[in-house]
Amino acid sequence: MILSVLYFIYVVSLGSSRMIGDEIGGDPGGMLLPLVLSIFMFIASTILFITDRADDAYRSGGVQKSQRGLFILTIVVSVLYVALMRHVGFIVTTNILLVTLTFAYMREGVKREDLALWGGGVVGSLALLIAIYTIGRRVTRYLLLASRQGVIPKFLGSNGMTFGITLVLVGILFALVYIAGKKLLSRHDAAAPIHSLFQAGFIAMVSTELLYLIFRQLFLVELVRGIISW
Amino acid sequence: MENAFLAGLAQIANLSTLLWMSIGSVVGILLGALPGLTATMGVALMMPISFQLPTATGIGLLLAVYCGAVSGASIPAILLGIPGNPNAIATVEDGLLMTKKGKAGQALGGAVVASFIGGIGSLIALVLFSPLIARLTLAFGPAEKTTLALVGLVIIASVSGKNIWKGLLMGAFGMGLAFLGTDPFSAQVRVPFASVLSRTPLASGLDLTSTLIGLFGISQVFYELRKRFEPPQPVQPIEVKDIFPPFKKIASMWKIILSSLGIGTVIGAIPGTGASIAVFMAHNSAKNITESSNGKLDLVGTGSLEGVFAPEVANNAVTGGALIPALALGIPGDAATAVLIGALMIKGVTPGFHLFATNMSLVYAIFLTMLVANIFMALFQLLGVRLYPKILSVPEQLLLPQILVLSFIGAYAIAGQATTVGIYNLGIALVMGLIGYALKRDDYPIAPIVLGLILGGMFEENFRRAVKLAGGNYLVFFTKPICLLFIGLSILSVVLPILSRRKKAKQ
Repeated sequence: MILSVLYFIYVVSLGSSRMIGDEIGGDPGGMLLPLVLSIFMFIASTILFITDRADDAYRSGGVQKSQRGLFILTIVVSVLYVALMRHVGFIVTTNILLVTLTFAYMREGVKREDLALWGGGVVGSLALLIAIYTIGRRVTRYLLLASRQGVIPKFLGSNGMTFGITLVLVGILFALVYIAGKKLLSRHDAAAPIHSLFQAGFIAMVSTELLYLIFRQLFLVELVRGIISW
Repeated sequence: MENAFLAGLAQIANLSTLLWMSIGSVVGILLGALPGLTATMGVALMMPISFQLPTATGIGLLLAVYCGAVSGASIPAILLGIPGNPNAIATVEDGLLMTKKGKAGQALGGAVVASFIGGIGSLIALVLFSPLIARLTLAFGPAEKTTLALVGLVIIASVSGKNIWKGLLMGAFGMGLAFLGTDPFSAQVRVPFASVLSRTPLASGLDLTSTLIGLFGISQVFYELRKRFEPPQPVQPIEVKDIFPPFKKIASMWKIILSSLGIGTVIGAIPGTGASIAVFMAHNSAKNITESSNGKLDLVGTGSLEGVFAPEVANNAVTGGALIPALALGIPGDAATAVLIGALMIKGVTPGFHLFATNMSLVYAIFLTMLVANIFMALFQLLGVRLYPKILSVPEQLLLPQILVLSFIGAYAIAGQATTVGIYNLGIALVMGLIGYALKRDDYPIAPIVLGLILGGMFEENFRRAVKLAGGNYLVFFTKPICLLFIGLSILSVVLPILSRRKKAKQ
């Protein structure tokens, strides 16, 4: 109801604009429909305000108390992701978002004792991801340059081929990281939080790199580089 | 016509299209199988990828996701008794009973065959009727188009959700969002805080894809976060040898198949109704048919293949049915086809007679991709019948962050090389996600917002053109028979649900 009033004020403040070339008149102007809409929205929301209380049973309910921490964390991390992506870059922000949320969801809450572990996980997965990303970039650049110079067949420098070759290579590297990680963690209890962190970090790395390869290398979308400028 | 068909065939008969459609089909089945994730969300999430592809390939990808998701919803419905999305609600009863009897394989296989029959049957209706309906729009001027947009909006607003006022309010909200941006006739910037925002990408209005991704993708993540994560339920192993139902059995169900096909196609073609209504109607009709079959058919409700076949034929028949008004009139049959129309419009393709008259090859390409989407849906679901149930064991905790990031990257990627626009799109998607969450929480339907967004522009442009052509006479809409018909339909679609609700309340 408040929104519809605000919308009404906004529409009136905008003023009406007439069709270009409407010297003889007839155009209802650009304000009429938004104005009618705001009045209708006010009437509908007033009716709902009066009648909808009876329908409260239908509502699916708000956030459960136990989930509030995760809910707020998701909003905060999402806002930071949107705000920082331009400056920090796609690779870093996406990886941090995925590690943070996956780990927190797996631990079913935001726990103070997990903070140090989470910090280590973010740094570790980021370092590994940047290393693998750098190798992937170098391979891609080599393929592009070498195919242009005629060192390797030209088709190997096409979008699809560089994407495919880099994908296979980083796939092998991720598999090695996974095997090594599993071996290192085998002495820890299966229920220990470090296992959740490893899983979260690994999934975050693979997802970030895969999204990068698909959107940057295959579809040529300009993903923000930020601090990873190479 | 032959040339147009061959040109349409050429647009899709290539490795790239088939590969992307295969991916779309598998992604759709997986999304459909995951409880809580809808076909609309799947289509919205794949939209950014479709823009990077040629038009026919991109639409093929989206149709493959759509058909796959509608069909994939039967997997958890049969194995766990939890429908992947509302399309499979009516499959639960007999599907789960069949699983308990040890016939899960046959139920899953039967659902695939039924979905395929439904999809192909409705495709035939789409091919036959959409050009005819599109031809009718030749008689439409700006006044008729205004009232057509109105009727599409009002019908979907009045039938979606439990409270008609909520639906209408959401339709109006969607139109309000569509009016943001630049006035199409005077180029005046219509955004709040215009002195600041007119210098940003928001001056040209809200990006449709980012808005849809926010409303369907991001909002779902927040919605699922409301309650405690539940551990995935165990799924029993499936006997592979029993998957295909005997042909004799399928043939004996011809009455059920035909009635479900008819129900699904017709309901799908009515804007706003959707599969969740069609499946119950088909289920009821099958119940009546089996009861009067004198024992020739197994009774629906007793764990019979008939009870799985009826809703599964109907829900996939909705896919073709919903595309009839979408392609012919630009009025989507359901939320998923609304997103498909959005994808077409962003590609510069406007549904309606103009599309049939000037770009028939693309229309044929869409028909053909629908055929391929159904074939792939059946093929991949049968091939992976033992694998897809495993997706049900993936915990929600791992899926939700992935959906969130996919939504963000999708909203960003629409901008392509324009990073500033991409960042604004991220913001739009996040804000819309939070709005979508708040609306879902309070039981407001989302589909009317999408309709408002898509039809708002069409409504405003034609309204102003019609009044201008009539010399400023607002009564022009009451002087034309087609307009009167549409206005009558709009009034009826508001009044009838109110009256029926009052009648129910009195009873």
